[in-house]
Amino acid sequence: MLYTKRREKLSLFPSGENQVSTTLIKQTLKPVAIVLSIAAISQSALADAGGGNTLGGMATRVSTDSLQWGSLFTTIAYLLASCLVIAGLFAIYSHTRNPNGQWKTHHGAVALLVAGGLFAWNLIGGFGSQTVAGAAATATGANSQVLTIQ
Amino acid sequence: MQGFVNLAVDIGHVILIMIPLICYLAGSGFIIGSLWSIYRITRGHGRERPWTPIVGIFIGSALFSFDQVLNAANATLGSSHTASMSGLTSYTADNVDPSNIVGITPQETWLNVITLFDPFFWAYGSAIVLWSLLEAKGQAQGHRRHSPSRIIVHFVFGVILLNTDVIAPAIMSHFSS
Repeated sequence: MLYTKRREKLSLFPSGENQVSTTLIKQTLKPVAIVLSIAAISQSALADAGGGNTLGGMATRVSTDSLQWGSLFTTIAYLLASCLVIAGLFAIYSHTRNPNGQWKTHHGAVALLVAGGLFAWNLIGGFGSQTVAGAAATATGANSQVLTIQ
Repeated sequence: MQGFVNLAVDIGHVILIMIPLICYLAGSGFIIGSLWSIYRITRGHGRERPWTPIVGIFIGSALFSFDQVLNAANATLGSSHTASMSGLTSYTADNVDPSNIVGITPQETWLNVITLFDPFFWAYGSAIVLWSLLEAKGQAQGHRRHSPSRIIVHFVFGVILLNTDVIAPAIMSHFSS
């Protein structure tokens, strides 16, 4: 009883529509499962292109074709840092205009410091790797890396 | 049997490809998130503990050098396995040689079977070690209810699983002597 109530609570649909939602999910999943099964059995061109119709071959292909993750994170860090530079300068300006207001000087100073850290986040990661492992970072975000154990 | 081994090795290869990607994504996220947390804590936003960003940067750095962490753990266990992250160029599926499976004694046969599954054990053990580091970050942030002992157990048993081919002969010699 408790389980049913909890399930109803977690459901995306109101309790009266549970039956409808279950049917919809089944109707959606069944064709997907059939298509995936046929694709797996028929040794699709994508799998063959990946170095044979194996999971490892497909993963290799996906890995080598994926995007450069470093660029994505650098973009996010730069956007955040730019916002913080503006916020930091604004905080200092606001403090000079109204010293008793909500903005303090150290808010601006910390924002500018964190912005600097975000602009150089890969350097921080590199220095951290040197500190933790005594060697340069090996996970570089390149689009094709593999962990090899011998 | 051959198909089963091939499947296990293939799954292991997939995990070994995913690990550097997860390490980079999580490590980058931890460092950028930690820097952002420093700003939030200064402004008095959120409920994060002051040392959480430091833990985030530390674990992020460990993830960037995940192979070195594994090497240190292997060396502590007395294993000669070495881990490294390198560029991926191509993949060739392993083929099992059935003539090498059956040994003279049951123990030897069992060790041969373990050796066949080694790539899977390496990958799965590494994944558990990686998971324990991610757990440590989650616990530092207060997102997890378990105690630190679970992280330690995951880390230790992940390294043991990674070194199954080292541990198994030692256990067998203990029971056969």
